[in-house]
Amino acid sequence: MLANKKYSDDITILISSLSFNSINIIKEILPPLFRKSNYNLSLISQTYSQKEYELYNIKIRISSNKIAAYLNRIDIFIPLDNESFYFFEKELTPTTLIIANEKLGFKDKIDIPLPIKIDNSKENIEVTECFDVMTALYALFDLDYECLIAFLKKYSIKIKKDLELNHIDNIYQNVNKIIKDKNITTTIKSDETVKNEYFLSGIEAIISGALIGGCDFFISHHRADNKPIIKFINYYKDSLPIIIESALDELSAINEAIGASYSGSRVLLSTTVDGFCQMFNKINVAGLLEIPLVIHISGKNPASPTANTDQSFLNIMLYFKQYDFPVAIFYPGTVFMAIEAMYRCFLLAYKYHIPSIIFTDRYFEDSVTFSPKIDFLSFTTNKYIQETDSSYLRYTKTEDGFSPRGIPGYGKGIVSVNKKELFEANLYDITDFNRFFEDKIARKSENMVLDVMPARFVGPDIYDKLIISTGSNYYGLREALIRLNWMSTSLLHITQIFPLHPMVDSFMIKAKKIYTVENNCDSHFKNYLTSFTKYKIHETINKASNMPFYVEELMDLIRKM
Amino acid sequence: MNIDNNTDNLCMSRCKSNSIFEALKNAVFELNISCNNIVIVTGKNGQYFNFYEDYKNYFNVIESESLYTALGIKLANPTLKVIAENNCNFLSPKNINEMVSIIKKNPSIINIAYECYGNANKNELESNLNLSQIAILSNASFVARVLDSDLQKMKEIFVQAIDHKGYVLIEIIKRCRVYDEKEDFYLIENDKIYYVNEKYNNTSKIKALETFSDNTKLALGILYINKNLIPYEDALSVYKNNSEPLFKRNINIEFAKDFIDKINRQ
Repeated sequence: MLANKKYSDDITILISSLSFNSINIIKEILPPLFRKSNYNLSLISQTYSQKEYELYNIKIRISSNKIAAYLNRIDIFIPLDNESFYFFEKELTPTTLIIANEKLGFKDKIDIPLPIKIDNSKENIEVTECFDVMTALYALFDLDYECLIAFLKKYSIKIKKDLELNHIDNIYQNVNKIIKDKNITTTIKSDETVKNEYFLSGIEAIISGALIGGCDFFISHHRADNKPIIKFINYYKDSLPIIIESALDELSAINEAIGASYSGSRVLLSTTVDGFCQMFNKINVAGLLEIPLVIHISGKNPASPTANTDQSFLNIMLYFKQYDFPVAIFYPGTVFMAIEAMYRCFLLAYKYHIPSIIFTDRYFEDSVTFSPKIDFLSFTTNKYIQETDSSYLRYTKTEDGFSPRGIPGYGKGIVSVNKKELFEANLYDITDFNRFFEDKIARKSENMVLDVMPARFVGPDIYDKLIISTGSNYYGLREALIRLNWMSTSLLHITQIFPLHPMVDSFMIKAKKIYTVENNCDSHFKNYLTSFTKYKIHETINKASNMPFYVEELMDLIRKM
Repeated sequence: MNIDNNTDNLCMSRCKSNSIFEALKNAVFELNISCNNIVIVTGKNGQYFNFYEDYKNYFNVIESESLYTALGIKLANPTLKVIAENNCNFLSPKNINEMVSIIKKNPSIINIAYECYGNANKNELESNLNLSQIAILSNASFVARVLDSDLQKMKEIFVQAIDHKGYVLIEIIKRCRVYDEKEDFYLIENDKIYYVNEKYNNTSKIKALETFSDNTKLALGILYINKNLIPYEDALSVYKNNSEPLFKRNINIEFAKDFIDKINRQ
């Protein structure tokens, strides 16, 4: 049994259950409670598919500093059932504090037992056990009891359940007594700056960014693994000024997106990697016919039972084009980056009439982290639409390569979007057409560089080694490097992976050795960087287990570099 | 082996009939609708591209073979009249699936579907999967059938179809010229078609289904109308308080800011 344990600065809590509802309730009520007490925290929910059951768990990191990376360590473990305990038993250390209901089968291993409350309905048990956990954590962290009661009362009214104050009080007193008896203390410093931050999940960041980008039409399709985003947007469907559509299948979805975009709306098409593969041809047609599209790809690998950081699709995303046309591809790793990336996705797509693709992995979508506030004044509200006159041609030849985008029904012109129109509008002779087409793509690509999202550089300005990453590895790498005191190594995190920002070259030239960190076997990002920049990538750190890089693991790997 | 290099022999490219667009043009003029408010969704095998030169100044056109493209256009801008053109390959499981799912939503789009009959495949009259029956069973709000050579009737049907609110299916009976080199048209020669008379009650679903299941003769005209169904675009919450099409609305950064504050877990 644990005694005289002092937790300071950084605590990882793992809550695990067979019940999806319980984890969802905790996910809903825990962050605001701790944020109210000005604590820095980050949260990731995962699902482990087992042969006989699915185990839902939530890993919370509470810290004095602003860190949000994934740790392997478990400081406090709260299993809500026997299966959860036995599943994680091997990962527990002697210093892990176990808080659990005393009715569970591993009674002798529980450090802080929670009293039993007899209840008949399953639903009530789920709510009660979540309230019990929250109360225990509140007592453990010595937070304001009145604040907890006020919050739980408010939540009980919301879900139309009675709150039994005696039971809550009983738990609070019990836990307080145990931690005093065993001399367990937690000293996490609160942080006043928390009030000026956002605390959002990856999905919420994507939708927020889309709203800033002016999205007014959301399309998804059945058979999608991108359920979280669909669930989220449907929850707010009455309050959002967006048309929310669910198409029959992948092809129907892309066709509907093409139609809506042609008709002047700003479309966000949400799909999965599998769905994206089925849409290749239509996305290419949209690119060729200059129909702007924003496609969000949710990166859940259906074969994976765990939280997903899979990056084995990178090659597909980077090399999907059948025809020549400019394209923008984003892969954000933090909430702030995702909001900006989504905004830029819309900006690039509708300003340059191209398909923009944004990818998010499941790990990022499910994690809830902090983000600095956004400067809303910096966003443009231009829709890049032109009123047409009777002589309007959609693909007319212009000096800067941009044919003005007309909308059917807006002006006196006829807006035809088809290959025949593309050819006829510019057909003086076939050589002329080819030259025109090449010229158009080149000019567009040149101009696009002005709006490319800059890469995030962290670390000393003078460095020997440069680590380049993309996707959700940002927090892990940053924390590992901070803990190692940088070791003459800097981090360059690229959110917009295509086209690359011109500054990427200037960072790479300064490094003696360049490394990439990827969640795949085949080093797709390394190969891409090698072919699109003139610098050699010396080594790649790969992990293909579908689990995120742990900070501890990254520290070991960086030390060996 | 004799291989005919004449591309005119390829399926669909020979199957020309400009009467559809001529009738559509006449209907639009009669209704006094601005041509730039009409959008035609057609694939490269569709009829429209055969007469691209003749009609390119009359209608907006987008190249896509899917009904869902038409749905996207209509929802983004309900003021547009959207006409989706499908060739006789329409009766594939994928397309039928798509059509049924669209009909259930009941958006105001006009779906022109070509049905080709000829001497070579005259048995199809008895054995063919009946598109209109599927549409009525899926709760379509307007189903009509017309012969492609009958310009006047076609125009009359288009006039009513454009005015109708809800999904419209117009089945256009054509002669299959790919498999049928002869000049005579089996359906006309053998008196296999007739127009429904004025006494025909086109609001009765049962009557319409009975008419369509008659394999001996093809009934033509407006065979079923249901004006009680609410069009999909009218049911959308986006258009409840503001009927402006999406492209006319400004990007509301203030709304985005408020939304982020609302979902922020503070």
